[in-house]
Parts: sequence; structure tokens; C-alpha cells
Amino acid sequence: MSAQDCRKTRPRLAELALGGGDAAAAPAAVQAHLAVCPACRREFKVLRAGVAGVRDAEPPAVDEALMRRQIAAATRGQTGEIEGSPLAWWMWRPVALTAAAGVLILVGLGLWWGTGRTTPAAQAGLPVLVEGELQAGDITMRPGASVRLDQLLEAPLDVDAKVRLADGSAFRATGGTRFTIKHAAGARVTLAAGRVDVIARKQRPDSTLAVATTEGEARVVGTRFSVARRERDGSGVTTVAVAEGAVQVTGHSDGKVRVLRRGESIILGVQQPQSAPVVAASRPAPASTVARPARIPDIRTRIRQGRVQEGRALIEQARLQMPVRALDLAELAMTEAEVELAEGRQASAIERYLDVVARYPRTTQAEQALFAAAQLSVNRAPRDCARLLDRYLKDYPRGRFTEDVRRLQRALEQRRQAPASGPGAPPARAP
Amino acid sequence: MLAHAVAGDRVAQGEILRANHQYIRRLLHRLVGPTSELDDLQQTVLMRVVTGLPRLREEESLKTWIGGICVHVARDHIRRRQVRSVVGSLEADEPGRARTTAGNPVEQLEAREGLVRCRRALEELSASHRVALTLRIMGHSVDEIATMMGSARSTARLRLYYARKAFCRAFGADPGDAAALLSDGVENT
Ligand SMILES: [Zn+2]
Repeated sequence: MSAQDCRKTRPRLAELALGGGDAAAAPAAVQAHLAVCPACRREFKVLRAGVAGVRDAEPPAVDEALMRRQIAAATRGQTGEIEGSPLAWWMWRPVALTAAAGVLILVGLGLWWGTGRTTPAAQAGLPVLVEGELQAGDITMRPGASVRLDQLLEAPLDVDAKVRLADGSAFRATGGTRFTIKHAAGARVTLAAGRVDVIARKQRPDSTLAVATTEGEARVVGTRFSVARRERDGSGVTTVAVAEGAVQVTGHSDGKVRVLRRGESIILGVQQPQSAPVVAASRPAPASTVARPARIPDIRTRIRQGRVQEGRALIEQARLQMPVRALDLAELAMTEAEVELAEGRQASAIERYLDVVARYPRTTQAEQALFAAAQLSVNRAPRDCARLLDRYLKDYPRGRFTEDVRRLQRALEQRRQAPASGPGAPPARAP
Repeated sequence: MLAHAVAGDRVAQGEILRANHQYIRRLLHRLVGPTSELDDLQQTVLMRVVTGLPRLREEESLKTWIGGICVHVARDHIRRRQVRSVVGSLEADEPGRARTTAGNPVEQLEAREGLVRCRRALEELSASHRVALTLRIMGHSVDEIATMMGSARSTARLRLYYARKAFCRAFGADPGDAAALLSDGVENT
């Protein structure tokens, strides 16, 4: 068996999986290789499961009421084709506030609007949808459409909407965001839930772009910034993060006006038992709630100190400020698992760790997460633990935890041979 | 009932739509993958079924004919998505959100990994190749695929051939061999 054998075998495995996944139907050479190569055997298993997944994928359930409306619309010929959309009137439905809010990540701000095209709508002073989709009541807007004012707008869950304002400023509402644009002096975006990233033109003194939420308001001073809002347990949290320039932020609870500069962020609306605001700095908080960028060590400090709520808030904040490196995201995802652990929810911690493994493969975090998940399942699910350990050794033959993994394997093996001998395995601990 | 529906009887049309509602939804979902636009796509198909019924030729099977409409709507959707900026879609198709049915978390992980990789490989294909191959994976015959895609049998064959080839090529490299790629320093506890 050689690496070359594997390279030759892999595409054939895909073919086999496509054909229904019967290993016995494979050519003799492939069968021979599979017999000696555990890596390819696993690959085959994964591919087979993947093809089966595509074949058997089940759509999210449709509720009876929606189905009835759909059928009625189709048979009555009420196509409601407005502005190029065939869905129109029957589609409007409330979307859970928390659905996409807060869990979205800043992706390449500034990438998407190089195009300085002006449309008739923009000339008329109306905002224009540049990309994506927006839903306003029963109307779906497509790129090029002028955006209605004073109306609740919603970006579909998996599509970002990019809106250009008459003054050339633009913002991007991530999927699931709900907001309203009002024309006062300067545009005002009222954010109900979700997140908007703004790139603003330098503003005239009398015309200021602002993003407002229940908790506060962020006003442009010529800049790039993000505002996110999410609700949890009935109360809202707004986060403002500045990527460039400066933003003037007003918190509604204290009426304070602060200027945030590049790299700074603030969380509005977090109720703390003590009156001290949440700040990301590890030293004593200054009088203002303006925070330094949230750092992962700070998050961990909070978790260690049992200030889990603050930890969570900082995770949210970090999601807004962080550059989009997979490593940072993976590390952030690790802290989420740690929060679960800190609150004693082992099963969800395991899930979070496995999520890191699946979502950020080939990162050091994935390695750590895989080991952590294995450790946590030693007593709960020894079988899973054994498989995770096997996978660890396969993925990281010279990994950082190889020694520990072997030790765990031995412990599991001993326990299997002496089943009733009680807790012989080392206790699970967080990495 | 079909005759009534073809003749424009709304009640009969409604019954046909109801009877095929889940079939349409499932087929669309498998062809395009997870999307928030499923309801829209479904509505589009339902409307096209109604407006197309008068043109339904008797010898055609209703299911295959409806399947053909789904295929067209799905293919258009995939084309539109391919044009859309990559920036947005990165997040939209988070692999971690894929749904699996197995109860065991480890099996789930493996199944999810497989599904994510298969979907990625499918997404690399052109819309027609992707649709053809997905239909094949779902167990449709070449003839059925040709009918549903409104193409000649030879075209369907050719599409399947290229799609399969590209799909398999996507798995040529060992995905696990780059484990130590990242030399980037990160603070770990
Ligand atoms: Zn091999």
C-alpha cells in the first residue's frame, strides 16, 4: 500500500459511492486496496454516507396553512408578480427574531460595492437594493429596485441584502435582518433584529446616517461600522463595532453620548447585576462603556470566573470585530463550547466541539476539539469516545495529544475487559 | 380527475397540487440543497403546473412531467445562485447546519462530513450537470433524466458522463493530508 495507491483509489471510491456504494461491486484492485487501507475504508464510508445524504435529503416540513395558501394562490392564478417576483403576497411570514441575528460574521466588508453605478431611483433620492433580496410586506425586491421607506424590510435568511443610499453610502444587512429605512435629515436605519454593516460617505453636518435600535443609536462621522441586535430572553442587546473612522453612539438607557473609534466596540442593553457595564478590557473598567476589542483570553477569563453571561456577550462582540480568519472563528467557537462546559452542559459542549471539528477542519482548534469531545464522552458514551480517539490518531498521527489519546485508549480497553470495575478512566477535563 | 384539472377545474387542480406537494418539495430540496428560497421555488412550480396543465400530453406521466418543471425551476435557481457573489454564499451554506438523521454524534459527524463534501463537489458542476447527476443519485434512469430535463437521451448520457467524472475528480485528493497546514500562531490556553 502506498500513497499512490490511495490517490488512484480515491476517485474510484467516489464512483462506487455514486453507484450505490456496494464495495463488492468494486474492481479487484480497489477491493484489494480497501482491504489493507483503513484511511480509504473510512473515506469510502464517508462518501457513501454523503451520497446517501444527497439522495435521501428531506426538506424542512411545510405547515398545512402555508401549503393551503400556496395551492390557493396557484389555482386562483393569483401570481402576484410584482417587481419580477413570483411569490409576492402569500410569502410574508414572521421570522424569529433571534434566527440569524448575532451569529453572523463580518465577511469582507468593502468587497461588494466597488461599482459606483447610479440608478434612476438613486438619482431620485431613494435607496437602491444593489444585491441580494429584500422583503417588504408582500413584495420581494430584487437588485435594481428602489427600497421603500418607512416600511419594515427583511433580508431572507440565507441572503445578504446590500443597499446603497442616495448619498453613496451603503450598507449590507446580513440574512435574516429586519430593519426600516427612514428619511429624516440623512437616512436613518432602524434595526429590529440582525445586523447591518455600514460604509458611509463623509457626511455633511446636516445630514447624518444613523442606525438606531431600541437600546441606542449609532451616528456616522465618516466611517465603516457595524450594528447588530439580537434578543434573548425578551431583552435586546445591541452591539456597535467600528472598523474605520469614528461613530457617535448614544445609549438610550443612560442617554450618554460616546464616540467610538477604529477597533472599538460597545454593547448596549446588557443588564448586569452590578451597574458596571460590560467591557472587554481586563483591567478595571473606565467610566465609559467603550470597549477595547474583545479578546479571546478575556472571554476565557470571564468563563473561568463564572461570569458566563459576560463571556457570552463578549463572544457576540468578538464575532463583530474579528477579522474573518478561520482560525479566529474556530477559536471563538471553542469558547462557546467552553461556555457550555462552564454551565455544566456536557452534551452540548460535546456537540459544540464536534461542530468545530466539522466546520473548521485542519485547524489546531479542530484537533483540540476532537480530543476534548473524546475526553468528555469517556464516561457518557465510551463507544463514541473510542471512535473519536481512533479518528484523532488517524487525523493527527503526530498530534499534540497523541500521548493522552493512547492513554485514554488503554484505559477504555481495560475497562472493557473488566466491565464492572467502576470509574477507571481518567476524568474528563476541558482542554 | 386529471382530465378535469386539464380542463381548468380548480378543485381538481388543487387536488393534484396537494397530492404532489411533498414530491415537489422533496425533489426541489434535493436538487438545490438547503435554501431559504425553497418556499418560493415551490410556489413557482405549483403555478407552472397549473398554467401548464392544458398543454399536458396524455402519454406523459404526470409525475415525470411535474418533475420536469421542478428540474427547470431548480436549474434556473442554481444558475442564479452561481452568478451571485461568493461573499454571501460562504456563510449561507455553513456545513455545520447540514441535517442528518443518524442518532450517534460520531456517525452524524461522518455523515455530515460526507454530505458537505458531496454537496461541495456538486456545487462545482454546471447547473445542468449537477441536476443530471443529482437525479441519477436519486435513482432516476437515463431516460427519465432526459425527459425531465427536456433533452435528447444522448445529451443526458453525456451530461451524466461529464458530471460523474468531475464529481469523482473532486475526491481525488486526500482531504486529510493537510492537517498541519496552519502555522499561524493562535493563543491557546
Ligand atoms: Zn488508501
